[in-house]
Amino acid sequence: MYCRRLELVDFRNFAALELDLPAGPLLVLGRNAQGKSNLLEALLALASGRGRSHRTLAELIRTVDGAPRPFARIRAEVAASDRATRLELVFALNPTEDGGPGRRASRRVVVDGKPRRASELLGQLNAVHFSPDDIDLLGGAPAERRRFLDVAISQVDRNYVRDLVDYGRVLSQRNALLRELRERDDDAAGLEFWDGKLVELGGRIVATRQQFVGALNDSGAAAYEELAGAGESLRVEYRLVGAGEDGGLPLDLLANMRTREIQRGQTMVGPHRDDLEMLVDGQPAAAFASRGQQRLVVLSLRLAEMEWLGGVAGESPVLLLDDIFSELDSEHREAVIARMPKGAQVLVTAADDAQVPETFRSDAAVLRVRAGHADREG
Amino acid sequence: MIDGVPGPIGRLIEELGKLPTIGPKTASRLAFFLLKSPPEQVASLAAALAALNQGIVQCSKCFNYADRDPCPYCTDEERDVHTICAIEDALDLLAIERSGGYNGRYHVLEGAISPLEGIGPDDLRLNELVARVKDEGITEVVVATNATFEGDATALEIGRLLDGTGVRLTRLARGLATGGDLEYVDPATIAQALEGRREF
Ligand SMILES: [Zn+2]
Repeated sequence: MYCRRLELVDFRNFAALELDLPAGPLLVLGRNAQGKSNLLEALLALASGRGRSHRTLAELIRTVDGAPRPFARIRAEVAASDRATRLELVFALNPTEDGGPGRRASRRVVVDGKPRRASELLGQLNAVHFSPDDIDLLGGAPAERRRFLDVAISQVDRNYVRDLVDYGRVLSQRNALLRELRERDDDAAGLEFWDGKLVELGGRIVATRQQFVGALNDSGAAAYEELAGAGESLRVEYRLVGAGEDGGLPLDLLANMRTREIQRGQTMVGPHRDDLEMLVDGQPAAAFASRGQQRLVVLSLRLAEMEWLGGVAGESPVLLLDDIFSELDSEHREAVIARMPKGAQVLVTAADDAQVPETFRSDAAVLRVRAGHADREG
Repeated sequence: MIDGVPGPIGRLIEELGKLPTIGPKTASRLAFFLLKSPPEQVASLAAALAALNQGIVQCSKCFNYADRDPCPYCTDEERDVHTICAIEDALDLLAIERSGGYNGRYHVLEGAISPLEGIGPDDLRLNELVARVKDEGITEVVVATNATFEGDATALEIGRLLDGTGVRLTRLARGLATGGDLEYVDPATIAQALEGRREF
């Protein structure tokens, strides 16, 4: 699938942009801070419902002299093998009590002219975002890694999205009850129901994540071996926080944790606490791998995500390669480009086109981005 | 009193602001809207408000609202006197009546268990339900709480409280979309869900 038309209003540094995109490779050139990455981020937002990690929804809205515009809007036409879809995604600042613009934003989604729930955006346009910040997948907080799992799986698994939403609801109810029990100095009255739901939904979420991790181990390990060479191996492990050997989220575990959970007033086990660990030659990559190895690890994870999404959806996702070549040597640049599926829409940003492999440049259309404007070349 | 606003308007804003989902800004907007409305429209609203409590009472048995206590649903001997349908609020009663699929007694729980909103079992009419089951010789309780986590949690609590009483406990069939409030479900679907109710 690919995005054939993109229209932005007040998204990041684009006041207004209308753009027809090619189905195949596109080289996005421009100096730093002109908007190249923002363009890719717009496509990431269509795929995931949000911007890159650490970005709040409100930060997607353009500011003028420090004051935010009321909303940002992304419109797109997506062509898949069996359908064409018009998407609209709006991030609007929530009004404060006195009617002025607030600091938080909420989403509105329109699919083919009909208002939809935000979760229904997912799966309309699949994309994988490669970025130098991916290195945070190793050294960053566990939330970064859970986000990696959730963004990938949500694009192709509606049930997973629903389970995540339901799980969040159950979690807030259960946490509220735990805090109440702490205040009342009560035993576990009323927890049973929420425990049951937590285990049911949590179990399904974990099982789905573990399947995805299995795929990361197959194709991610293969990609890493090719990139790193010389028999180096990558292994990805899903870490259940506080769980027993047999995995899952058994009720006994919750029962054992009960006193501590009530003391803390929060749920301490479950997929909202789980983590991923990447091992290079059996050693945690975050602590033991070199910077160069770490880059190849996260690159391999993205390539595996790409292959998995393509396999499950039956067509290649859009590939967003945001300034990843500046940190790679020419051999690895070539290897990454060689792994891009034939015919896929691949957007590559670079400040210097000399960094981009000739094999990509020779076929690619060129878009030049300057100060929030974008123009096709040639 | 609200600064800079003449007394009566300030008082109206204050009163409107006490209503659910109405913040100070909406309250002011409503107050000024009413101020600019034709006097007969305002008088009609005032009359409706004044008449609201006159002649309307809460039924002391089922906690529905009616013009008498006990309410018609509790006194009508044509209805099945051995079955109680437990619902979250009085609007659900109307929805079930519209479906035509039920002809027993009702019991309004006045909400559902929701720790986030500080609503626990003690805040609902659960003890009253248990007492009725015992006193009125009830043989079946149809639990028609909403198909939400909160509605399910409430159903489970009812099951726990009535365990050992021998009463038949049923829950509406899952034709209803998860997350749905009964009052927004169409009558035919409710009738189907009632017909397909199962023990739990
Ligand atoms: Zn009554």
